[in-house]
Amino acid sequence: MPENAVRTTRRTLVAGAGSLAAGLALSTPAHARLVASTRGVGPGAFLDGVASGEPSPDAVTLWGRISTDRPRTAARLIVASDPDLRTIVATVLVPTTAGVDHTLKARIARLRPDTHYWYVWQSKDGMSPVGRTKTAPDPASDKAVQIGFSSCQRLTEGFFNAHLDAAKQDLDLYAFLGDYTYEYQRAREARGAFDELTSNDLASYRAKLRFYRSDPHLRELHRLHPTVHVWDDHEVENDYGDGEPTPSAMQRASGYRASFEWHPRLSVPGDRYRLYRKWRLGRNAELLMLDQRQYRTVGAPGSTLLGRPQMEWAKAGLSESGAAWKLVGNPVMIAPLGLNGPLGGVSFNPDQWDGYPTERDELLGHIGTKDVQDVAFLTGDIHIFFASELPIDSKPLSGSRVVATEYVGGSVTSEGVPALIEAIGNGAIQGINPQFKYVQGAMHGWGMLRADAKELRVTYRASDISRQGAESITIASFVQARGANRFDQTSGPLGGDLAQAVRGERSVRNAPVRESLKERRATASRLAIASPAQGRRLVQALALERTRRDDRTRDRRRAA
Amino acid sequence: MRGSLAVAVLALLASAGPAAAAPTSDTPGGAKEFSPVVVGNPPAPLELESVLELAGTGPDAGAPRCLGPTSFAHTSWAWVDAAPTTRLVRVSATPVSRTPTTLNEPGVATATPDLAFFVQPAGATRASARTAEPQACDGREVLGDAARTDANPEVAAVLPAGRPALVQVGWRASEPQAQIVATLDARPFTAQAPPAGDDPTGAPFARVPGRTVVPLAGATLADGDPAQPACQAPATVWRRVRLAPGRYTATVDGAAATLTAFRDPVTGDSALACRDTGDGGPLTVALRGSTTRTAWLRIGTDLVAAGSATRLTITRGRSSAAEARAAASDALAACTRRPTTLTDARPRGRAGVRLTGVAGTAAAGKRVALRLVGRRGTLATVRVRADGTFTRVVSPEAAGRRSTARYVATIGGRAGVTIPLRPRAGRPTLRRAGTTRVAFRGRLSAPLASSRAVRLQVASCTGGRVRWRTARTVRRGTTGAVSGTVARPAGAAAVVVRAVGRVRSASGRTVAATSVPQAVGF
Repeated sequence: MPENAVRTTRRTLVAGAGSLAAGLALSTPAHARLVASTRGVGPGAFLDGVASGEPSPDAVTLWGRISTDRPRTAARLIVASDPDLRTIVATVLVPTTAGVDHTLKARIARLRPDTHYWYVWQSKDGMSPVGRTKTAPDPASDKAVQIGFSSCQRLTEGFFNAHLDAAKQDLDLYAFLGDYTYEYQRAREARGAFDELTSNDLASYRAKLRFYRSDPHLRELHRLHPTVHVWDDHEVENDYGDGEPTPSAMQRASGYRASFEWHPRLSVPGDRYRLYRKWRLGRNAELLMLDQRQYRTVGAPGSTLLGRPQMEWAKAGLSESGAAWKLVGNPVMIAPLGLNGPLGGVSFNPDQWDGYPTERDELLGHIGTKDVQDVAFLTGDIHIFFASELPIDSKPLSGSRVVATEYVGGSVTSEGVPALIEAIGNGAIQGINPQFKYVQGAMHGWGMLRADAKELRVTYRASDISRQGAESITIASFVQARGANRFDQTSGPLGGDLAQAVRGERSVRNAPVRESLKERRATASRLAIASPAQGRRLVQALALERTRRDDRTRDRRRAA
Repeated sequence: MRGSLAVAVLALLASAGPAAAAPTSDTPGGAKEFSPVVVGNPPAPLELESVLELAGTGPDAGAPRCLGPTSFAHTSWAWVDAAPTTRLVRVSATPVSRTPTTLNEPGVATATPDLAFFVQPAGATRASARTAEPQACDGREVLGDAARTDANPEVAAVLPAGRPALVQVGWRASEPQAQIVATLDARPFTAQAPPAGDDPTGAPFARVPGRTVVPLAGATLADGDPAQPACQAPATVWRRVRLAPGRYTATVDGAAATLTAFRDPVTGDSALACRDTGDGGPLTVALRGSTTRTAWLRIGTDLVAAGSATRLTITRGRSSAAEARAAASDALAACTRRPTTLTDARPRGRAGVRLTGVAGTAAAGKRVALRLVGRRGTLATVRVRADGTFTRVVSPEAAGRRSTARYVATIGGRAGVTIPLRPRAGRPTLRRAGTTRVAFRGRLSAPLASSRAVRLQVASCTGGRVRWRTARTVRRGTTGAVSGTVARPAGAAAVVVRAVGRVRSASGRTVAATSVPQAVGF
């Protein structure tokens, strides 16, 4: 069955037939109310940047948000094939309502593959920054593709320099692998930034996303590259899905709903919250994004991380993929982490695949037994840069056949090596986890890969997150040849800088944050939780601020 | 075909089987509470939840299907308790997420749930709750984007102190009756006395025509306020208007966000038109009175803070063709102190002449005598129409059609300006070009002057005095054809235009040729 098909079961039919009978018996008059049939472009500002995502060879999903008090309005989307917006390829009137937080989404089709497009949102009295996006290469294209990936971007813990760096690269796609926002309220982190907002209901999840999108570097990344996103736990609540704590129906639905509203993606028809999807990027790469939070169960009849439908989908997707490189967007680490050396196999973190060994063995076993070659897991969650080779039985030092590789992209800002084991440093982690070929827990950044017909190159990049706009550097690179399922480290300290865990992390923590960013974040945070009346005033102030500093005034002028 | 038959049989068999028992929240009397939730990251959220079962539910007798006949086919209800203070209430509905346990289990529905909000009278209980008219509703038709499969409904209302409310969520008949979690965000609102007309009952009359300042501060969404999904507002204020026959335009500004016109009596299906600032246009609705009657105007606002107000302006309009002609007639009549004037004299048939003129609506019904200059007696008479115009074809035997013929119209012995049958600047016509411009066409007759410039002049007339302003200069064609558009003066009900060009006289001198003024109304 195609992914987009609506599945109809007998249960659906039962309910449908019953309701028809009831409808005949109890039909009430249909009131001829005024339901919007035509609409125009309403007033409003675009204060939350622009974004694009879900690229296919002929289509892309474009995102914007209009700030207005009106429950119902619309904006005009203009898509062009040149940066000056002279050659218009699509103009669409896109409606929105308060029910979707005034976010705007449109999937623009009939585009050329592997091509940049530029777009802008227009209201009656405002215009968004000009965004840029790119369609995926044609499945037959032999072009090398570049993908960025990251996770764990806690706004209060440092600057999103990783996103600024990624925005400058020539990428075909950028994958957020979870913990895009953090639900906590923190009056003041160690570095002095504020986040006054606890998010646990619809209004506060939306406000949190708005707060995070106020970051200029994150906005720039979204403005320039198509993205895909899969959530982990912090988009709703820490470690949920493992049995305790269990979020309420409201909290869970609100977190999912806000996430869908604020990302450039459309729901799979018939499966509203489904995030596991695959994105083909030419002949050389296919990215399978896994949702490792929504379908978790613990206890009888057995713990599951992916859930049966997703597991079958993933196995089939890997087996059937015709791409040279099968890339798995993997929110939590699949390689074991714990006392895995001579001390035996004790897991530190059952929230990752370690807590679901049966499913891990099933997936890696499938890759091994079906001889699926060139599978690479791109991983988030753990806040440490790792690189490892995955044996079929997932037990370290088992000597079993290596069937895949895993590249863990550190964290954008979230604290690295846990405080508990900070003192022992990277070397100690590697000592008790010999399966890791590379460990770096002190630095923060992102991962970038280049996939072509011959090899996969993965680069880890990091920066000093205590300084806004600090230059990112390559801290390690790996090359994996086709068919090898192993990699070689080609740059950076071999295996990671074993002495840096303590020194690097502390120096970062003690660095002061510039007053300007502190103030801006405080303003954004207040705005996110403000009442409508206060919000209007703050929105104006913030809009002026952003227009002056964050958004690209040159691009605005161009679009005009 | 065979597959369809099998599905139909299956459906029939299934319908005969035991249906899911309806939950108590299937009826307003069993409406479920909104409850606080426990979270792992305190403080507790402001929003309350009500998880509503839809399986086994049906539609509600007596409750209108606010989004059309297919909406609210399966419904469930939740109850918002009254509070001692006015509150800004936001209610939303989201399908509950769940984990599929089997391979082929359907996912969470992507259809948009239906949502309606019913404000209750003070002291109402679930048992006595009214469901005859929702005050707000939202759903897929409001968003109007079928591709947006992640959409959910949300309504906002300023709920008066002491008023409880009912929330109705629903699915269409064709959709899986999945659980829906309704969320309630209720925040105390600065208490202010409600303005006059907060409820349609007892709403003051507005001046017609005229301008009325309508205070909006303290407005709420009251239980007499029928939902109109196209023009939602959390708070509204009402005015009544008494309309004589004719056309009217109602406009609001300031803190107004929507304007909705209802005929009498006010019900959910008596709305005539509405405008929403979210659609970008002005808040203006057209009203029409064929007999004297009362209409209702509802002004929606997002700002109910102190001092919020709007100006409601009602003008009597002329937008029919007859009324436009009347406006043109009056405009031309205002340009002369004579009682009437001919605007065109054209050959008709082999020897006849058609004479057209205006006398203004004030002269409607009066008799006009048409005369040939230089001949005694009347060629013909004609009565002035209600729109102030007259036209008469003069028979060939009476017309006296010669190239030098001139005609004149008289009323009560007072004559207008004479016009020639063959003017040097002839065949003038003036038409509307959209709503902001008029298009002039005419022709200068040979011999033409070397100058091809033709000035299009617009008149401003008061009390019979006229001032001509050149609005545009155009170039005539080589055959003498003249055409061009000029802007309609802002707010003018009619525009009077003439063309002034240059031709050569019989003696070869260059002289001015001025067309007979033409008018067009809006």
